[in-house]
Amino acid sequence: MNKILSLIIFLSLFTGNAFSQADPITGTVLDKDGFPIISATVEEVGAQNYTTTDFDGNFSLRAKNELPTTFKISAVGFKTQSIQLYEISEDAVTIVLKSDNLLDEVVIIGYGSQKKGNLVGSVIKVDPTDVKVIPEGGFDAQLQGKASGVQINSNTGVPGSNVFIRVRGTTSINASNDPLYIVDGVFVNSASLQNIAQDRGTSPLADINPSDIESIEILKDAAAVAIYGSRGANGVVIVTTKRGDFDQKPKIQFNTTYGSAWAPKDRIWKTTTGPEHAMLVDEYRANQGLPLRFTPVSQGGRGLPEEQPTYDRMSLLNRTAALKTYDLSVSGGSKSTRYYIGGGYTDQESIWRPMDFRRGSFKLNLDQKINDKITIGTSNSISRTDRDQARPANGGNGTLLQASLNIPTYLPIFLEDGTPAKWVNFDNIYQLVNTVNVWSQSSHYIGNLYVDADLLPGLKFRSSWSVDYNIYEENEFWDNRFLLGAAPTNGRATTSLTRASSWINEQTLRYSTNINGNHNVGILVGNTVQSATVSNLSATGTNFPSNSFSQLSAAANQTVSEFWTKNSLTSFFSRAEYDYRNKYFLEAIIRADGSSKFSKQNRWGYFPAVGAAWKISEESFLRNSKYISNLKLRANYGETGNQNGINDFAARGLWVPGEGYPDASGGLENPGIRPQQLANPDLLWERTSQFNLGVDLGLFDNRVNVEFNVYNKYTTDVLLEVAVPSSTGFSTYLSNFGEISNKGFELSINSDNIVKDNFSWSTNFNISQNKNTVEKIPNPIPFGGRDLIRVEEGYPLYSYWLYNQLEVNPQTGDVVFEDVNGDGQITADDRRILQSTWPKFFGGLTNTFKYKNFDFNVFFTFSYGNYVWNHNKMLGETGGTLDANRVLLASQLDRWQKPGDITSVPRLTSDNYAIQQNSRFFEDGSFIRLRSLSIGYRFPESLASNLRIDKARVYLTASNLLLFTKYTGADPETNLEGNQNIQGYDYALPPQPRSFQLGFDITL
Amino acid sequence: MKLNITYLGITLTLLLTLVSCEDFLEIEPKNAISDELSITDENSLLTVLRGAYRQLGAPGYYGETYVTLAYFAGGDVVNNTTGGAANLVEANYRADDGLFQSAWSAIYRTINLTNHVIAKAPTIEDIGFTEAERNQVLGEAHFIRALAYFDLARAWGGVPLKLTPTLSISESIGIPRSTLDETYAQVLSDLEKAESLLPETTNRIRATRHSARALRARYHLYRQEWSQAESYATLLINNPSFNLRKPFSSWFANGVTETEESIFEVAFSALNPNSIKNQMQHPLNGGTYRYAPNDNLVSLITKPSIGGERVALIDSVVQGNTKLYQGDLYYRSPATDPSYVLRIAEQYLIRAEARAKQNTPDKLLEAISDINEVRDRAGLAATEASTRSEILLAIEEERRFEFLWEAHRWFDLSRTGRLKAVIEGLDPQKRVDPHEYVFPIPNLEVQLDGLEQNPDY
Repeated sequence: MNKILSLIIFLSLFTGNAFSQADPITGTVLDKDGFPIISATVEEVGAQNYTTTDFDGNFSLRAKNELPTTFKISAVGFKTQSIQLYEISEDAVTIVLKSDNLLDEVVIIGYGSQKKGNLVGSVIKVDPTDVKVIPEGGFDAQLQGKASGVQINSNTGVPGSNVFIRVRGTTSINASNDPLYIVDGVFVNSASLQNIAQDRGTSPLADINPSDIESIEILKDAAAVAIYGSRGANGVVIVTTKRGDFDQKPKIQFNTTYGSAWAPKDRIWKTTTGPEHAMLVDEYRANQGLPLRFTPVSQGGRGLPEEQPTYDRMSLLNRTAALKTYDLSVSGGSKSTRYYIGGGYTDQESIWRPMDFRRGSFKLNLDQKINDKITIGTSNSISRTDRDQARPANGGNGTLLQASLNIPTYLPIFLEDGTPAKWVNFDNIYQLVNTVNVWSQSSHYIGNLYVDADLLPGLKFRSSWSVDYNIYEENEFWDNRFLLGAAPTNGRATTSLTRASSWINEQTLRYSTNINGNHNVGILVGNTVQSATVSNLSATGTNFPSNSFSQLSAAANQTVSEFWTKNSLTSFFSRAEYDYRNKYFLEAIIRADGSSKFSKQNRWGYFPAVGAAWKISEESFLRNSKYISNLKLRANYGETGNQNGINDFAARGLWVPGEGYPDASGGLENPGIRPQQLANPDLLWERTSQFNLGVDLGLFDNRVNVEFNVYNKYTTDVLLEVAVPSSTGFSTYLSNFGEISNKGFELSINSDNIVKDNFSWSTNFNISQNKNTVEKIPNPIPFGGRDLIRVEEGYPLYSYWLYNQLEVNPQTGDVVFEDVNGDGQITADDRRILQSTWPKFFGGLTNTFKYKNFDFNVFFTFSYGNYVWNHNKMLGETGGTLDANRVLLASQLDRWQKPGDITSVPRLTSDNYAIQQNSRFFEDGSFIRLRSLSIGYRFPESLASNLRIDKARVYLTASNLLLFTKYTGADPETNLEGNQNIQGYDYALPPQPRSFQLGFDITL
Repeated sequence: MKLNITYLGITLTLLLTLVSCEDFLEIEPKNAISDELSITDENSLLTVLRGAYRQLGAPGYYGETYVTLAYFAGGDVVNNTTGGAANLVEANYRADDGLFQSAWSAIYRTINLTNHVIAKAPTIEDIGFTEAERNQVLGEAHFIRALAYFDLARAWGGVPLKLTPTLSISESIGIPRSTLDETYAQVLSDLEKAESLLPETTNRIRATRHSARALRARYHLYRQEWSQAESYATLLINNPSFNLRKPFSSWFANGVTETEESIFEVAFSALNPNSIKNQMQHPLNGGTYRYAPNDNLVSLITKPSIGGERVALIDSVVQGNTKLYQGDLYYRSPATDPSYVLRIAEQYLIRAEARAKQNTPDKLLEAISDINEVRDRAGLAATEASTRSEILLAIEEERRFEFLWEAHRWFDLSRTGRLKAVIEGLDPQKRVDPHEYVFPIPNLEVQLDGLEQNPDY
């Protein structure tokens, strides 16, 4: 808290008429460390009235304009600041300017902060301002493409959904791969609490209002994360929310955006028309020697193919979604108190009816100086998030895409009498989109209370208590119009209440000193105690008296289930920092973690890290270089552990109830139990060692900053559900087996290309590569339906295990698969891993232009070389074998018809379509996406000040305007959720929406 | 002064967190119990035995998959979904078909539970736990294990024999496949124990001496030990507790359970429903309709002279203008439909086949009479078959319709060697290769445990 980056304006109270406008305004301009800034310009806006500060940073200037008037204070190397003066006081004004040098920027690191220029580890700071308007619900999804080495995939196109995020690749198979999220010191759960329709994971982080966020730091390498020990194995995301400033008069900020979003037309699946579908089905049947289906009605058929109508179900599903956001905050402070009060509301409709995301949030941050040694403070965020949900797919009945896309287009939506028609085993899309059958409500409190005490010069103590408390309530009700509730079920309702609560207590003691001006020494010791509990109570009822009753108490049949789990972790840690003349840096960290998940003998894990940096540019031979303003080498090595994500009781042999069976006639069950998992008392921490080598380069007075890192992460004792022979009575067994490596590089370039008074252009580019390899594993492990995904030694995670389609024989039209073992047959032995879902590289490019009062921002993200499993296509190219049971996509029309045809879609026979694990559906998902584009206009200060407004800005933001990809599915970034080992699986999810939003920011 | 308070605060906090550290890291689960607590007394032993029955009715076993294997591959079903039954219907059995894996795993999970009971029951000393009760518990476990190994053997041939409870992985892997004869020998040994230990009571949802004998009749039929098959079937047929009741549907329709037809059926409840119904029934009846009787089967079973009252085993709905047929043996909501493991009708047909195989004029006549008992119950006229081969064909056809939705058809065709002729006869597009008389060992089991794959898979 001692290093606050902010503008502090001290204005004493107006003291009557003693001072008139004729009196000069006097003040001092300081940097954040309290040193005077010499030759800073102080200018009265719109009055051609200015002065500069003297050697002590002092100035004096007589206002020319009527009050209130605006002053602009600028100095080389600092950000220009404006202040507004309502009254003229006899007391001097103190103005603190922020450095505009990236290297002087202070970044938050674990249990402390550090000048960016002095970092030993790899930490990225992201300013959330640019991306907070991207309609994603949560800040995690908004970060995509903003940070090198961080792969983010927002999965679903539904706001507030679970986000796939990997910092420097994936280290684990059965333990968690999500980074640790720390919001104002609170370790916040990021795992979905969704219990009903689990394929629709939701992100608890979407409960946090992005507008309340001041900065986001991502800690990546060993030196940066080691202080978090086992919690930091997958990287750490530190979120700092806004706080007030001491001695600041109330600042009121209001911002609002309005907009709409829709599915890009060219990305919606193309289906066959009714006549085309009929033609293909009969072509298949003719090929198979089966009787045709589309024969004249007079002959008992369904009518000739050309007589078939075409119905458009997708247009019922898709909509132009409305997006609305309102945020209001007040911040300020007195000498000893500062506060930030924020409130926000956002409503984002999904582009698929009837899904919707609504969040109301309240934020209160308060800090109070008790005396000059002790400060206490608190951060509080309370929010409520309502989601109207649906089952997009993969959940049996009631799923949106099955009720729309998967039904052959010749089948009518309504019967002749107007009743909604159901086909195959799918619901009617009209009914589905007009009823909210699944909804949830997240009530989320994230709070922290801390005490800071300066015990002795250089010795600081902090104790903090944090709570993350989330009640997630879900409901579903399917009345008898829907398959899930149809007779004989007569209505089905579920209410599920999940409570996730965790708390953490931390103590740290920090000492820093400087020895004879050359040696800076810092030491940190601390401990944390934390515990997390998740419990769930869920009840289901069926057989309701009528559709008017939806409460469980009305159900004739009721069942209930309960679930409870808890874990705790105790840790001790220490960090020692040393630097010599700001030139040579050394750092050493050790952390000990004790976890309740392991048996006594394996409970404690010890995780060390060491790092060093050398600022070459401080050496005499570079100090006067014309071009190189900063050059620093960094190297560090460390080990972290992982135990997150595995079952809290993973090491024990467990038997579970719920296996009742009757003893005697009549069917009344008595309790029964069965073994659920085998004991493994030897289970221990998964360990990742990481080596990082980095170069920071600043050119031309740091107008160009380049950061380059190479890393090598190697994970051993991987926590793995090892498949075991079923003859044991078990399928899997959690053990430490296997090794995984992640190697890669990250490059980011920030460049201020043009910096002029009226025009500036800056570019931020980042590109990363991560090569993931499963180095050692006992046996291949299959995942997903059809064993599509496979973990196999020598291949990356998320590999697809397929039959490789070589061609469609131009003479016969039959599909030809690669006969890998050459035995003349195509059997399971001919399946192999093809391509990779990992991008060869990915990143983002942001260009920001400012011209006078206009600003313009273009942001691209890209990914190259990643393959995507097009499951929708697999289900839509079944060659007519499924008759009226499934849709045929338009791509089916490319089938082989006559000798000489060159195509990848084989002749319509059942043999040619028997194998679904066909490499044909595994497609190149490389893309370049124009993620966002925004243009803003800042009202001139003169105009603003006349209106007694501090700042006002209006802007237009568009997202996903362009997508360049060869991928034929809806969106190369969609991914089915529900299993962390499945990636690149595109099934039944909407494409990312294209949106336009108009926004207005105003500060009073 | 202020500083002193701070120091005190720090000291207290650090002390508090340090002292309780190890206790803080001990957390007991609430939703489950540990291994050592699983079987400690009579009550917990019975709880595990019930778990074994429930596992017998798991979705991979008699709760669905194992039962459906028999009719998916039996030539009378059409697949309605992507994947699903497609490969079995097309007589294209693949080692990576998930259905084989789920059935295989579910059966071995059942075996593991019976192994727990068989290992622990002799050691339980509990006041009030009589020898008779101990024998019954052991007998039930032996019966379930016999059934499980029998079901493995008829689907895959010889399999790994795991006869002790799995307590740790290291001592439980690497068991090779036994031969088919060894596997059946284990079945017989368990059946003999079950028969001697179990009481001669009637309980149609638990193993009794009757169910052990009924399974033994079937065992001897599969082993082609005709006279033993005949005599065991006769024991059941002569027992007044088991009768062919009329009309045909009276053993399953209208929500009945545990009728006189039933020798052993697996019971289900709202909490533990039978999974077959969901995929068999049309959505208009609360299912997902993943498969259906094919056109040929429908045309046969709806003919009164062929299907008779067995037409009750199918049903139809009208959607749009199309009439859609579906199976109807499992239809209840909630899905409490029993899974029928041993029925008296089967004992008649076992005896008919055993008698016909013995091929004496008397036995052939007796076989015809057994067939006619079953036909008569189904509302059909007496069979016209008279020669041995005609009788055997009649039995095959009788079993086809009688056990349309039970775990019989493919196993019968494989057992009698008629698979190729029948399947290819029903659909000339299909091809049954010589190796397809057993199913492939799930390829994961082959990879994990080095199990020898069945030839040519």
